[in-house]
Amino acid sequence: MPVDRSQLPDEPPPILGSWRKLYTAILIYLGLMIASFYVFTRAFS
Amino acid sequence: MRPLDWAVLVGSLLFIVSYGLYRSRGSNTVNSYLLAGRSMPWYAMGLSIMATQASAVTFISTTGQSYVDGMRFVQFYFGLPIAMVILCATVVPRFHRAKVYTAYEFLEQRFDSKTRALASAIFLLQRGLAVGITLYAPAIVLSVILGWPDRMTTLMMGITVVLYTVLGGIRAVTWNDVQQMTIIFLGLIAALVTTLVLLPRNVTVLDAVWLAGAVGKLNAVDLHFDWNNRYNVWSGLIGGTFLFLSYFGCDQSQVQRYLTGKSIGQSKLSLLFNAMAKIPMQFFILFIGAMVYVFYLFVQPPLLFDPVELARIRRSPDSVTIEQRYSRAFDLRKSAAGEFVEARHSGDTGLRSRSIAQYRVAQKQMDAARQDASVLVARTGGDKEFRDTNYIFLSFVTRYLPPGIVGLVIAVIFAAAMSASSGEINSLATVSMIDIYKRHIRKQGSDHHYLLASRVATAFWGAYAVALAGFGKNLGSLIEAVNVLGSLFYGSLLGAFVLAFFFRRVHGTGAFWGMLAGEAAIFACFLFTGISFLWYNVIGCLVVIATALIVTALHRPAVAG
Repeated sequence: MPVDRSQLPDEPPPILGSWRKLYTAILIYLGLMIASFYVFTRAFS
Repeated sequence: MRPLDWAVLVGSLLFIVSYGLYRSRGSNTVNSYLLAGRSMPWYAMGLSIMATQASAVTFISTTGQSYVDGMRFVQFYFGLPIAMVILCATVVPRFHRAKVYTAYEFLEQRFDSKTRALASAIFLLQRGLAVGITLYAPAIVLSVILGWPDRMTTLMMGITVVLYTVLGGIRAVTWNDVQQMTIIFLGLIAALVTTLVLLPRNVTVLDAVWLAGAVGKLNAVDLHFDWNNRYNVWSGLIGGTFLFLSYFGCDQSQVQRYLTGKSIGQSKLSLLFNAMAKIPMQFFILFIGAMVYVFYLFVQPPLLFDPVELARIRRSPDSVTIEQRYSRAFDLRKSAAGEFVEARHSGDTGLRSRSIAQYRVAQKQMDAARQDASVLVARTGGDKEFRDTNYIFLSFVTRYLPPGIVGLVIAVIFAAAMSASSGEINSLATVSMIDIYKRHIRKQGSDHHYLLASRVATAFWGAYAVALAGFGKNLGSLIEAVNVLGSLFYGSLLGAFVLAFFFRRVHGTGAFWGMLAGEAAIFACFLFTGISFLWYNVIGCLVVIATALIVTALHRPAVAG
């Protein structure tokens, strides 16, 4: 009988152990990206 | 287009389409046709989401926008990672567990059938209009390269897309997208490298970057807050978050991609992959546009990038003086650019300042000549609101890129357009079939009947898209047109889903009237104010919530029994 995967509990992400940590990492990544773009803009303007 | 370009173009497209159809074999139930049997891995969904959003417009219009306006458009995407995180934490698990085919089906589970019907109608209207623009974009390519009329090329593209979407369903769409993104990445790298190689010998890559910065094309971040400024950090972070929440959380063309995931975790990863990759990709594409601008500092660009309109004004004697002015201004600008590079190499700050001042004078003269040429277009019977932003990159590609690379870039644009429009057509058909036909017209049909109805709906929306594509020409920069159009409808959809997830006391009637009020507020902003479109989603969403709360407080539905 096929497994209904939509009813399974949410599995952990492949890295960082929990979804909460992965979400935080994504938001930090966004902050760093905006900061680096700002430096890029200022440096060459 | 030379024989090698045709070989690369035809070979790439045949491979993409046939591979997609091969992977879609066995799509003989409604579930497998519309949701791929919920079996897709994260990377296929992630690339498909990216491809559906990217489309040909990304290549054609974003590069042109960077050429004209600099890189500030990248800020538009700053809200995307935030939206993805919110969606992963809230919407994705709920949609998966509700086992819905469409996002709007979920609204009926939470509210009532009229709220679902209204949301479906808003989606069909908005996406039905946008799909025309998606199809129109590659038609520009063919009309520029082959000189065929837009309408004929739209028809050709539309028939191809409809055929493989009708036959293969979402599995064909998704696996096509995976191949397409591979070609897009290759094409992007090839386009940038060849653009840099084409620069004059004495201009290094670093010189080119400094030049682009000096002439204001590397304006990636603007911290100044202004309601009427379309692109700054704040409109990107706040307005962009709301727009992408709406787009990825309420637009079936995106929701359907991650509903095909084989688990909740796989669907989440597909969105987080986009959260990581989308901004660097857009930055890269905009950077190509900036480098094309630098290239044209040393090689005279055409007076108009649209060859058809250029040929039209050249039949008028007035164009001679305009072209002479344009050429003189270009010579001045070229000498300024050369002096800037020389000053950078020698460290002469005085020469550097003088070269920038000379550049500004020359650029003003070139802009004035181009403006006069646009007026001449209108005077000689052409488009009254002529803009050629969408022709800039294609004009550059076909004139200057080497054989093979031209074919690759054109293949990228074709594949992107086909995948994006096929995804849209597929989602329009799904909503028509699941939310309208199966819900309101024929409730007790067999699976085979609904599969046939899905194919018929796909063919219908394909034909509709082709018919609407004719309006694309007058919409200025295509990518902005798509985003402005989306913003007119997304705010109220987002408001309905926010109510569904976070306001337990709000009932169906409150949500329904809230959505109507939100839509009215957005159109009022669009018609009577100068507020940037990125804020429409915020305003619309807030009006939906406020109205729904008031209606819920005033109107208590009668309890049966």
